[in-house]
Amino acid sequence: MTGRLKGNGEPIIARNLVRRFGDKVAVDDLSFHVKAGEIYGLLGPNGAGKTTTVKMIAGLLPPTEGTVEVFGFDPITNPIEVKQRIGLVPEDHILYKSLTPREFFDFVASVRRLKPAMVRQRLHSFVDAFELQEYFDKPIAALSHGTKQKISVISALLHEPKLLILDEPLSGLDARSARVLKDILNFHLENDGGILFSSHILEVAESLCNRIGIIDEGRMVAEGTVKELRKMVKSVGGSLEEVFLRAVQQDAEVAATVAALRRALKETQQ
Amino acid sequence: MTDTTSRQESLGLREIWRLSGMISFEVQFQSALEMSQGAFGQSIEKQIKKARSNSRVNKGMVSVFTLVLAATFGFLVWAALSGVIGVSPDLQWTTVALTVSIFTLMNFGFLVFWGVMQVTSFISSGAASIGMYLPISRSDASKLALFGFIRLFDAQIITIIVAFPIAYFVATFSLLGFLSCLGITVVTMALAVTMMLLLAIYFHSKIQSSGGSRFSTLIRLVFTLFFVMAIMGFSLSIQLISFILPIIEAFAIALTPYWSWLAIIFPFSFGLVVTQATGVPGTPFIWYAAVSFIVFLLLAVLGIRWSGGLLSRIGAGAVVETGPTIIQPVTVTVSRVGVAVMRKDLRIAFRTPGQAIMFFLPVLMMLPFIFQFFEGTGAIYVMDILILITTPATMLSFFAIFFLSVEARGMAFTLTLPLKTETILRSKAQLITCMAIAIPVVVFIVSLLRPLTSWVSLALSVSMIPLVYVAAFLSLVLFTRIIGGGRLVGFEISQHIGQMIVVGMLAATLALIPLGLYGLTWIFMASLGFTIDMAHLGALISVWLGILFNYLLGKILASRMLLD
Repeated sequence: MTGRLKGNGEPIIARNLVRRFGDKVAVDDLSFHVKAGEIYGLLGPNGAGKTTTVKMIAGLLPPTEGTVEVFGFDPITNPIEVKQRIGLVPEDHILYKSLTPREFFDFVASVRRLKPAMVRQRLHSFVDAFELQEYFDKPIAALSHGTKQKISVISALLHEPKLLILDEPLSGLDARSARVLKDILNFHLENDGGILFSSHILEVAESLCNRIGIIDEGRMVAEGTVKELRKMVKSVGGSLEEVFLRAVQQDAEVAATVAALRRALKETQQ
Repeated sequence: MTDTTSRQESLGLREIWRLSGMISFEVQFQSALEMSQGAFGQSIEKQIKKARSNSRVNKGMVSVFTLVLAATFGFLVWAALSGVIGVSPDLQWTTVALTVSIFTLMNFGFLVFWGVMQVTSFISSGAASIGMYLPISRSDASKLALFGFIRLFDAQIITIIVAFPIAYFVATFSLLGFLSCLGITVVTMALAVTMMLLLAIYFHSKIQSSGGSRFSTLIRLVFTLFFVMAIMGFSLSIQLISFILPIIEAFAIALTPYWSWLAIIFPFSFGLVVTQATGVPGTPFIWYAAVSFIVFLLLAVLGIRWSGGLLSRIGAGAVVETGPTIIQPVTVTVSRVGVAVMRKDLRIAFRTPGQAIMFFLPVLMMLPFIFQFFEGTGAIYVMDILILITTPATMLSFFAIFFLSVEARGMAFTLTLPLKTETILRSKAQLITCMAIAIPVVVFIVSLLRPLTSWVSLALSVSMIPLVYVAAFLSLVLFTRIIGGGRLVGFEISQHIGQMIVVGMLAATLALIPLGLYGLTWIFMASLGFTIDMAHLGALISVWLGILFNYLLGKILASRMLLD
């Protein structure tokens, strides 16, 4: 099995997703879909509900209300089917830190029942591309943030998934590795793969994503292409950062905070 | 920009001592953090609090243990000299020398094995180099590291240095004996500290930094075994106290012809020096021993100077050199899913000494019984073997759930993979079963020392392997159902301790059922007039029926009711 399983339907269809933790509503009536051959950017300030949404799509957390379909499968009732088809790069490195990358990939390839020849070829290519050879036998705990991120990215790509769910995938990567990853993502799109891309780096989202959904306090506050979003907030020509702040209604508050900080710094200067 | 810092004068010794407490605590905290990975999701505040109390408890325990040991060995010296144990006068010197030597060796070994882990953390954590980043002099930074190191072992070293010489003085009322005892203890501690640092540097370069050659894998295993040996040594010493006297007597007689060369070997030369200083008549080869002691004294002085220099350099920010990186070809081994999960768990567990010790539990639990077998003569009855194997089998079943926490935070990654909960639980149960293999191995070794009355003893011990597997799997299924509704979830041990104990006890009871069936069937068949062999065979069959019942129960619960 190569991991290229045929599933029905679009990579992601989320309908009226709600997730509550006690009294707190982390995700509130969220609906969106990701099509094959596109990168969908999920943007939002800290605590907006991005990671909770990603967990519900990956089958790691059941929604309180609403439904998710990944290639037509419900991640909660068919978690194995969904997990076979997705490659997940979570925001925090959830890796076995006492293992070496070699031992870690041993485990991932075995659990995903990948063919040894295919693993050898793909792993070799990824390790070369991300310059990981010299770290291949060191404990993951001893590696830098960027190197851990490379391991996380490779483990998500190893089984050639149809859908990539990437939460801050460029975090900690050097310019070379970031470029390599962007090329891999383009190759993935050319092969009709889908990508859900969650990031705080607005410039990256602006340059990579076909469509963007901006969420705040668990709700979708704006959705569309960058062009459509600019029109939506009536600041045509502005950067995505301005669009984003306007959409989450933080532009005035951020401007006031920055001004107050500058005043405080000036006063403490001697 | 303005300079917001101000130049400081040299810190006083008192202030350095206070600050060094933070360094030693940081090292202990990092060691504790490494060992408590099972505390999945525990808040960092709780872990700090726990590490702080553990540090105090550990120091207290080690001190109490050292005191008990010193008092025991002091008593042995008194017993040998006063004649209460009937040591003949011409064997008094060898008994005293051997007692002092064994105590010296135990302290040396215990300090080295116990300390090497913390010292490796001390070197690799960077905590000792904190002074380098502070606005303090290079000399103060070095002292900070030195004191931080001393404080890791202060309670243990002080107790050893004080307790045994005093116990020895009380036993002998010899001032010279007391002083010589103090001398050899100080020299032993200096040698132990030097050895500890040498090993820690070696391990640091091989484990933390070098490539993954087979050699470094082997070294990692040895490192883990050091920790296990320290724990086993601690447990064995306590169990052995009541056996020490006959052992020493036997050794004293056996070693008498070899003292001419033992006199120059550590720690026997130390034992002879103390015995001579105490004035025990007939002590031979004293000049050999004295020369040997002086050589070790010089080595200790050199060792302490080297250790002090090394710690000063670490404090001043010098990096301990690591081995070269060996780049191996990029290949991976793809195995069956269950095997992959087990291999991963094994690798993780053996890199966490606190978890690695679990793998030695069966042997540790059987040790006291084994020593009893050494004492007796004649064939060992099936019932004795039944008692020997019941403890590890039930305890392994009880502790099975704790292996759910082997992965610690890595569990979050497992959950992203296309793995059925049942597959993971079965793999964990198989891993626990691997530990049960030690049970028939120990019984086989025992059978080499003393004959068994029936082959059923060996068959019964082999039956413990499937017995542990089914009980472990059942408890894992039940616990997963209770805390995750049938789905594997990350959990914090401290928040589920009640459920763990209940499920653990249930598993232990399930493991006991087949063993209980053995006894009942045997009594029943014997009362019906069957031969002893037939009664044992029937009882063995009922054990397997009990295991089969537990197996079917686990299968039904896993597939129909409990797991997703």
